[in-house]
Amino acid sequence: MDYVYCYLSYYGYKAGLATMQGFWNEMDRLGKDRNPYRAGFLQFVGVAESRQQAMDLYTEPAEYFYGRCLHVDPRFASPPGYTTEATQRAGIESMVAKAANTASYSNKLSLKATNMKDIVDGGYVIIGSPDEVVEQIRHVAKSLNVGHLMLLLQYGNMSKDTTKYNSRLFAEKVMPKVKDLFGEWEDKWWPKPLDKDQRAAVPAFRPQPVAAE
Amino acid sequence: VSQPVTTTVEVNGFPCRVWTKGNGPKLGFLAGLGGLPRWLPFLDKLAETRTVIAPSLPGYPGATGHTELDSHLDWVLAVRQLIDKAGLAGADLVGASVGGTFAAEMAAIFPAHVGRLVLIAPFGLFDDQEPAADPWAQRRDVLPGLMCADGSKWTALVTPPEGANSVEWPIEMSRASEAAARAFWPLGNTRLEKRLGLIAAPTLVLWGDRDSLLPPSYAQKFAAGIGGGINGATRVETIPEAGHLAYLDQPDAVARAVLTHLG
Repeated sequence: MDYVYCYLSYYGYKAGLATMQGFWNEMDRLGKDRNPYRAGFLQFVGVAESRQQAMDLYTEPAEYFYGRCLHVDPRFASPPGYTTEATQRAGIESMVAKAANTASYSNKLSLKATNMKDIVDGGYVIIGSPDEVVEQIRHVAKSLNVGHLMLLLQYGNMSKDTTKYNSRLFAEKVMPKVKDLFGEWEDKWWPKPLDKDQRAAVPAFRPQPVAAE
Repeated sequence: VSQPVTTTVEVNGFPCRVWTKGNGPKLGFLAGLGGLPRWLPFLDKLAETRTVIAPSLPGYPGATGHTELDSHLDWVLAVRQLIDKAGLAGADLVGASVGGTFAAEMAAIFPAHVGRLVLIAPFGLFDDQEPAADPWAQRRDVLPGLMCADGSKWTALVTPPEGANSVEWPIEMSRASEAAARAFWPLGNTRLEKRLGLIAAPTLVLWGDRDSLLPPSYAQKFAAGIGGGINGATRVETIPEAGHLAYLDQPDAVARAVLTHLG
């Protein structure tokens, strides 16, 4: 059976390249086609009217997330049996281990980026005007060959208003310009709703009376 | 230091390495956490007067098959096969830490299989008042000090020797940890106290006075569990300046105590 492989990385497309290349090499070995919809990838995005405005809006939530939300006690990073020997051999660290190693004393020298410039340079968060984000999303999709992008448009301490702004701008100004990607392939994995006549009727909403004080 | 002779036996269809060295009556050794990635000065001491036979538990360095063992009974029966196939049935048996538990199980369940018995800081009991530390959830920089009084002894055990395969060596080390976790999850409480009273072999319980993994007070609990009944000769001896893997910290003192007990 063919499943979708979804790589949930907090560290963006640059760090994910080796893993996704490994996935496609394995698909080649198994004689599978390179239908990009076999794969999914998680990516942080912050879109605004301009790159500068995006930096202004998303620096605090991004630094909050990468600086404060990834503290996993390294004691629990690699419990025995968690990683198969094949995976150990391939040298792929789990996301948990990555986050935990970042926090561990002995790895302080190799700290992952927690300031906005490095976060953006490292590709953890894609930042920019709608057109700049479009260009980067197209690059991510093509370089990793992924047809499903899972977008994190809320991170760290991002406010509700900023989250709605980011989401709306992405949906209205970015998504239409990436829709054409991979049009030649069929997405056999996207969930399909049941036929209407097979769906259960949604019961009418009946508000419960609130107990009087 | 000359190397031991290596042979391989099969347990449940999986290879287990057996190291043999020395002269004299057979003496079995079941190693503690980390297994035997290399031959030890402690074993050389024993080999001066005994034929030391050290089979690797499933999943320990030189052995696989731990992933097939789903219950404590599976483990006990695997170790019984290992003991038999290594030619150790009826021989004296020394077990430490992980291997100590199984040595105790062998002596309790298959009394004719074990001559005299030495247990070095074995797993198997758990006291809520003095809980054991969890060796599988530790920071890398803390682990050596938990294994040995002198952490560098542990580091020396697990550091790849010259010419070792740089990919397979660390995998072998994590496999040993996984095997021990499979055998002792959670925290080594195998309810061994229910079987200790069946041990008939004259038993010595050895414990490093600086064991920060399993509290040294557990030694008395083992002795009490084994003691009063058919055996009655259980002795407890404390090794000064030694941690959990006392045979790494104080190879001479531990070997001397072992050989004195075995006579």
